[in-house]
Amino acid sequence: MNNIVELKNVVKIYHRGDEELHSVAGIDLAVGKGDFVSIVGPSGSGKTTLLNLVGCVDTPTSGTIKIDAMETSRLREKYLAKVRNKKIGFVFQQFFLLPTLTALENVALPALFSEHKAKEERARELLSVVGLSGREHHLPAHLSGGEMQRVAIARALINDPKLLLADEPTGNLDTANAEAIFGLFEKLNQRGLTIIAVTHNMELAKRTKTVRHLKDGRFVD
Amino acid sequence: MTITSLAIKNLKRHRVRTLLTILGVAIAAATLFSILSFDVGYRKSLHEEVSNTGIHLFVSTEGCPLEAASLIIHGGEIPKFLQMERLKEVKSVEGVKQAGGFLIFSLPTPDGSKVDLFYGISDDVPKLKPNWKIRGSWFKDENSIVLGSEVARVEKRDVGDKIYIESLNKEFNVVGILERTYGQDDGFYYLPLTAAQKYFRKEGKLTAIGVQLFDVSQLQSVKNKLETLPDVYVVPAEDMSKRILELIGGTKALMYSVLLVALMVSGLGLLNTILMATFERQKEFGYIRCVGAQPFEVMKLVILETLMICLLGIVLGIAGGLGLSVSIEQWIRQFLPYIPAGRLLRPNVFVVLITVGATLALGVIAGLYPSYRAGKISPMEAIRNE
Ligand SMILES: Nc1ncnc2c1ncn2[C@@H]1O[C@H](COP(=O)(O)OP(=O)(O)OP(=O)(O)O)[C@@H](O)[C@H]1O
Ligand SMILES: [Mg+2]
Repeated sequence: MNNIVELKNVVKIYHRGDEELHSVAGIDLAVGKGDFVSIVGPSGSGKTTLLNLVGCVDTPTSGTIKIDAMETSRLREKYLAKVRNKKIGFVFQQFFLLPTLTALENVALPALFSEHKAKEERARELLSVVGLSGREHHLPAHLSGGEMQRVAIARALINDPKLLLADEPTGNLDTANAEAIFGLFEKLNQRGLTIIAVTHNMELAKRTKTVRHLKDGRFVD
Repeated sequence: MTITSLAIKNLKRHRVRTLLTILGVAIAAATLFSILSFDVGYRKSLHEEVSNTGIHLFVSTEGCPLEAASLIIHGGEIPKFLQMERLKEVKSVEGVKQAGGFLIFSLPTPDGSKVDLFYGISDDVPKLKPNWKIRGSWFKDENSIVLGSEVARVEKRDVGDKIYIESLNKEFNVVGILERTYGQDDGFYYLPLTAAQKYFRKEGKLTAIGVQLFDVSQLQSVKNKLETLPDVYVVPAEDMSKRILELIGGTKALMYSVLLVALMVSGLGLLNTILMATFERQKEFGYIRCVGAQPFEVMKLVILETLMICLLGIVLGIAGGLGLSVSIEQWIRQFLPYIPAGRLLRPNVFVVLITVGATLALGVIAGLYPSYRAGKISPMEAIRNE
């Protein structure tokens, strides 16, 4: 069994007043080690919800999720935090950067909660990899959307994760920058990093190893 | 970057709020520090004063012995008197090393602005006062007067000058000045005993007798022997300081209630600040949890922020308490029924340790609930739709 991600009949129901919202409505998914999966689908189809479930940020209403052979759908918060910190790098759609921290500090933040507390050098390196050399000491408020996105990408890589989850990682970037980031993802994937990326950009999606189509909380391919 | 620098950044975000909270803690810490310093200082000053007099026992007439005792070092007047013969008798009691007679009178100045205290003292009294240094000379005749250093300063008199005492309608020669003792003694006029007895029309009378023993461990047996003399009542000096400590018990209780209020107010202020800072950062705590912080790490962050405010407050409070100690002392003096010589606020290592410990404990208590709340914030807080 060489799957790093395994979902079985995963359902996530949100409640909006009396209404039940099946954001993820029974999904089976297996992602092998070293795969590069893109998830495409219309807005509201449940892409972010699915990614949050895989990324242990959210818990499923039912079904099982295994990450690296560990059943995370049953883990307690304490252990989930460890999985998030060590195994998974997550580029959130809304970035989730801390407003009081500089770009460099934001990138280094996850390391603070790992065994390797100080990773300033590595954070600098990653910032230059995403093309943000010279922006180390800028606060998020002084960065453009695209720059914040790249800080979020650098942060996702700080703890050398096994799995990279990216929610619209090129959404705020112009074509050239989008191409650069996607190129970086391809390079990381070649080195063995498993990637699941949500994207609207079909052209980029086509270049990934696997493309999955999501609609109304279900895969339709 | 460390958790500490993260905490500092959070505190800097609302500088004014943080500063005000620090100030609140500082006030509580300063109050605690001052009250503890006072507790130590008052006890010590009292003890020093009592032991400095070199008087182990006070002999007075039956009825108001404690007052008599306190008057000897504090000043004041008692309507009852001892017979002069008692002095000789006391001196001959076995175990008595020295004894000195006092006749104490207080006279309001004619303008009524203050009360002058006159001590008629026998020639043995300086032997009972090991800390006395007299500049100039001892009494030469009935017109001699020795001034306490404070009296000399206020009246602007020096050795060799003359001083006219209006209430006695008499002029005296200042033969000596008692150098500063930092005690009540600095505020008295000293006259030869016989002269005082004459001026105050109490010939052959004494207010009290101060007794020094060869061996303090014999105190009880000497006391018993002295009490066989007629009309005599004996009070050990130590009993007096105990009585005085009882006397200020009420003042102390009041101080400690002020302290309690200060601690509560600053504790609530701290709780409020930290709670607010926690609530307004729900999302951020969610982000931190999303990138892998454990619940306890978020709790640690909140506690750390609380303790930092406390530490700064403690430093500021202790510094303020030290810096303002002179004014604080002046202020406290107004409320005391008895003020011994010497400094009343005497901070020591224990006072500092208790202040630090108690204020930090206050911080921990105030930080507990906010940190518990922060620790319960889940990563889903970050992704919740607004
Ligand atoms: N925390 C939440 N509470 C309630 N409803 C939610 C929550 N998160 C998502 N939803 C709902 O679930 C559905 C799927 O949302 P999701 O964010 O997964 O879509 P998406 O495919 O990521 O869309 P987009 O492309 O716009 O990002 C939507 O209808 C959304 O309103
Ligand atoms: Mg989305």
